[in-house]
Amino acid sequence: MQDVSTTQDRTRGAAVAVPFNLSRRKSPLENVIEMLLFVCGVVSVLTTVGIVYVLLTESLAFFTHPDVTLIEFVTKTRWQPQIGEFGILPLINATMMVATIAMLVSLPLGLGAAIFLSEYASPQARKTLKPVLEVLAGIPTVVYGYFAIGFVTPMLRNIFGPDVVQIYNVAAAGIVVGILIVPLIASMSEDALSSVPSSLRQAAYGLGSTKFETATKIVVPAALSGVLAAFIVGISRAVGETMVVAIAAGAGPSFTFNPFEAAETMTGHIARISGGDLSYHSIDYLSIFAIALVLFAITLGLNIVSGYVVRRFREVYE
Amino acid sequence: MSINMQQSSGYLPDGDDLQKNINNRQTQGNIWRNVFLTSLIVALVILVVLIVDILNGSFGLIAIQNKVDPATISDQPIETLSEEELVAILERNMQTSGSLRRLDREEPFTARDQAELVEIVETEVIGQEIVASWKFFDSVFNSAAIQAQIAEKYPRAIIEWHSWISWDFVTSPMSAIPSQAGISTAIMGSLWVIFITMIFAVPVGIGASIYLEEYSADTKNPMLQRINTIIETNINNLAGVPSIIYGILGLSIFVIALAPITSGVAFGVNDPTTANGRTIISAG
Repeated sequence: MQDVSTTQDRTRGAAVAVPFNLSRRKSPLENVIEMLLFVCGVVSVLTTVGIVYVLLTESLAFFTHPDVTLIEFVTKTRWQPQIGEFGILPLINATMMVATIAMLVSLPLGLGAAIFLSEYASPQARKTLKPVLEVLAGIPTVVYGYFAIGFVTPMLRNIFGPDVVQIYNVAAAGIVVGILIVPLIASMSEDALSSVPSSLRQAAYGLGSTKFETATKIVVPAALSGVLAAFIVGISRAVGETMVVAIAAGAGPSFTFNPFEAAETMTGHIARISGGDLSYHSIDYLSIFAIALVLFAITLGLNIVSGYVVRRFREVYE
Repeated sequence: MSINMQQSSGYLPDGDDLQKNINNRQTQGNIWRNVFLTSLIVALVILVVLIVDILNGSFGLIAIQNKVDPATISDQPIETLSEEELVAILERNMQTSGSLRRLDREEPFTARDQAELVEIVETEVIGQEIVASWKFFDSVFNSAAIQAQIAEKYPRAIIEWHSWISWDFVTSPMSAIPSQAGISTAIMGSLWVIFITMIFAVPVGIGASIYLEEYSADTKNPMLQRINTIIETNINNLAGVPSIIYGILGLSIFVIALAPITSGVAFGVNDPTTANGRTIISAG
């Protein structure tokens, strides 16, 4: 009896153990592949480490340079490396102006388009219109840059007069960056809006809501996390946009609040200086790393905030 | 809106009030529907404007003028002259410039055929140049004004239609003369960047996404689990880093630090890291 039971136990144990054994008995090749794939994942981390390391060491070299002090860097309103003046405010100010104008253009357009596509358009219309809108997102930004300088700037100069609007100006760059972000915001918001379950809409209609009331009081609040995330990613994109501002916003840092004047953004300045003929380890060269560090911190901060917003305001529907 | 406020405070409209309320809300709804539709249309119109603007600049009238009037060189049309006559013209008119000797050294004039010599006379002696150009819409709607203006300013100029996009444009290299400039070198550069980017980004990107999707969940090792979370958050954040930052990373690491190794393709290597994060996102 005992023998039988033990054999039974043993067979049962073996039967249970088989799947575990299968998963444990990997061929060496399998391990190698897994290691290789793991390394692929780690490369991305190394990239980040590389960015942070380069930015930090070069910025450190910049700040320990006798001509530079950290306090002047964050408070001075002039950036003129030739005469040793390093105040990052004009660059940040121009970046913020471009981003603000861009968001003023892209928020209403993007959200409006998203609400129309998700709430009003027929499925057929949505199927054709959304890809068309996404074509806008696929156009290289340098094309948008020439669109800004070749079309938007002359248009602004026609409207407001060539005395008011300079040839290179922040407004044209901001408007075009806004246009460039519209598809991003429209597409991300539309995804968020259409993932709201239709039972919520049906309930709102059942209570007598109009389509507009359903859209703005039920669907948008329910999809708020996705919509907010789209906005923040949009801002981050506007801050990091390079080609449009390098072409259309002007080449020379200036501290101005007039959007019709030329001013250089952080990205535009880095592009101009690093593209130019500069000697390495000169103060100019080091200064672009300090700007890049600030830029990196801003965009990383915005990304983290957007990730937090998505988690914090997410409404989960079963 | 005021009626809505009353509603929420417990007042229920009735009769005429109710009808008014419903009408108001429906008008409001219709207005906003049109606002949303407008924003979509504006976005699409901008796309159309962008494309039309590019096409507008790609075709149009140009005014071509000869630097030297062909009639002063020869009393017969250039194309009909014999080879000896053409060489004589070249020698007569290009004494002062060094290019005569340079061209002769490349290939002796006596060895060239008639068509080739005509071409040399046209470019070197007559020297066609584009004195003015117009965009497409200008060319179509103001063509009379353009003709008049050109007739006054450049009496010898010929006005003709020109497409700036042509096979020559795609195949010729860069040039300081706009009418002869092409983008073949730029296309080669782009293709190289794409090629090098793909070599690097496709295996790494797809590898990372396979790892994260298929393997990372299996591990029981807490250390590995943490690394996996770091990798995942990190990839999400990498995709949001502006490309200019990758640019100066490339500048400082690949172009300067590794200059001896990568001197040839340095700028090609600039970009793979940019695409890396994004490919991972799209593949994952």
